Amino acid sequence: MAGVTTGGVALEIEDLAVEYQSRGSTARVLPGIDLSLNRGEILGLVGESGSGKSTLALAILRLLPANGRIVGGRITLDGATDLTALPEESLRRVRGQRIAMVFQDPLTSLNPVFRIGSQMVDVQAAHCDHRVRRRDRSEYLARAVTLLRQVGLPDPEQIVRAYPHQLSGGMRQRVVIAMALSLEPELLIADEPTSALDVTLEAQILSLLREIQADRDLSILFVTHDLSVVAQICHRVVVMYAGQIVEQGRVADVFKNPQHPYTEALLETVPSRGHRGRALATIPGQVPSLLGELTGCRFASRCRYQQEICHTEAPPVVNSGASEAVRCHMRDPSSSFDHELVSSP
Amino acid sequence: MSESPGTPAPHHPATLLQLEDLSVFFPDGGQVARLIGPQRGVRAVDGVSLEVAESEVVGIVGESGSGKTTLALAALRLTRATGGRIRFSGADITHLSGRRLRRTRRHAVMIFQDPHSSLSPRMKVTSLLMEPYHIHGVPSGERYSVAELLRMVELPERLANRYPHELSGGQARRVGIARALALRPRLIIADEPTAGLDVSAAGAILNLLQSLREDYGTAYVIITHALNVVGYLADRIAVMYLGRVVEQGPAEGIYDAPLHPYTRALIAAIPDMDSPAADAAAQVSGEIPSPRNPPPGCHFHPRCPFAVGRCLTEEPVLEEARPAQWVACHRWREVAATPQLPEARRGAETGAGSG
Repeated sequence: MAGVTTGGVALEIEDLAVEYQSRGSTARVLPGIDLSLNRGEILGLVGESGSGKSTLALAILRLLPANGRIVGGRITLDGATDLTALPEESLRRVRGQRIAMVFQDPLTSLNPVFRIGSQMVDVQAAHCDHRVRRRDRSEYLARAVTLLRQVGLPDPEQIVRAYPHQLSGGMRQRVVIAMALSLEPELLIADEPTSALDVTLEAQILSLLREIQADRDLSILFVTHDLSVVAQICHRVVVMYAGQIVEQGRVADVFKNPQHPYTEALLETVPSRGHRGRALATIPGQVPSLLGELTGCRFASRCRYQQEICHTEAPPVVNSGASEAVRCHMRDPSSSFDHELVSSP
Repeated sequence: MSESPGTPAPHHPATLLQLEDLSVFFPDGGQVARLIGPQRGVRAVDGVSLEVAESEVVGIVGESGSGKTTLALAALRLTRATGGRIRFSGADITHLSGRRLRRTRRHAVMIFQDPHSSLSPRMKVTSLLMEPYHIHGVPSGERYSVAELLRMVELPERLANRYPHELSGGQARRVGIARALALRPRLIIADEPTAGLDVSAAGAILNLLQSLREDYGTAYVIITHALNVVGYLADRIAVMYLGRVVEQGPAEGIYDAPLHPYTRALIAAIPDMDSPAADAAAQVSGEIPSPRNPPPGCHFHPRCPFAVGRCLTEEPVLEEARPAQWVACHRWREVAATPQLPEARRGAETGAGSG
């Protein structure tokens, strides 16, 4: 599989904090996120509902809902632009042109009353520097046809004339991907882009994204709750739990030898082909509420290795095994965690 | 359809639900359009025969548009069948109405896909759980208590006073299951019981259904687009494509040695952690066509890597290829002789590049 060809960091997030206001109380949903996405890399961002993965994706483009705001940290695009400090005017140029986004439900990204072609023309026209003339529009339309062909849609000349409701779910998601590519972004954020699709279509869209990434040397942040999808298309993975990153590293390393107990448990819940008849693994308990004060490790109450220290002290982020960053006392050589009490490795 | 193969030989002693050549046709247009001009519309279910035995779990698998939900609705008489016959516990219920239909519905219930839209937002969990008793006039001696029902689905008792919007997706799903269990039905049809849930929560729901089945001997029909969901629970699996059953048989047979190219494609498309680079797109291209205008012959032929001339014109009928495993494919012998998973998988490792 085509790997990371160019060096450098496409997106660097440092100590990003996001808060939501709700009914007078404040929830710090992301207390300080650090992650980097290398150029030409597909980075998987995984977690269960409530882990904060979608909030993080929205925060990058400053698309948080009205009650949410960034309260600290930096988001640096391509080593130069700090997105948190950018005025709204300049941010408009980043959205779409430099960072494009694909959402779970393609219908929310498409206007039901305009034809596909005119929507794809409008996207290009909206980001054009000069006044758009009729000749430009026909050029844009020709480009739309080319893009639709590139994302594997048969008969793109027909599709530009169609309305969204005339297309199937899989076709719509391809249209949205073509639209996202139309401004030649350097970074694509895909939020559960295949979760609403049938399995055979999911497989098709995943291979499409993989091809696009390799052909265009695009960087992709792939948000999903599905570890098996990460295994299929991502180079590196970031595992989130209750607003924090608990582990990150290369997919091959993390999935083969998970260092955080949550990653380990999450991997066990994935049903495999040879699983028939046996009870499925689950993670008992629930994600803690982020409204109150949280002490210790956020995963402690659900962790099979929990010890006293896990409930009293917040774990540090350390290197462990082949993983780049693990937030766990058990992996911290300097902590008072008692390894004698852990029977299985 | 006179060519219909009839029902596969029953291999369980007592048949609970029996569908015989069932069809559901949704005509286009209004009354006038129907009188003049040719009959057009969607044949959502096209001559399906299926049996469910007492305490058996049958999975119905197919993509959106395959007709699996319509089939379930028709089986419970929640939508009108336009052809065929439905027997429940030996009695023909195809044309039942009124009180006698309601009595049947006490024994055969449905759990709908989206729990939040099937639970009234203005009722607390307590009332939601007791509602089936009021509808069916169940005497108090035959009722479970709210606490008992919550315990059955492993929910804490304190949830009794919550409203549906105060529940998580998994909790709402469990309330839906508890409502179904309240009537002690002999058959539960669950439509996508795990859709939209996290892996861990989905696994917990499947474990719950499995233990309920062991405890109460209820028969289940589980409708899903994900083969791995039923692979875990089902005794038998029926695979649907554009309104027809293309393969059915024991779960092991369907899962481990599928004979229909479509079943194979579905299995290949299951993302698998052990063989990450599996590329199902190599196996099946395109999408399920509109049921309004299905391809002639075998409906699957435009997407099928095995298709030959005959498949374009002649509709395959179900035949018993292996004991109790029925397949509707002209080419199943060739399919069976082809290795199931492509060995030529691109790169065994996903993590390319050096960090």
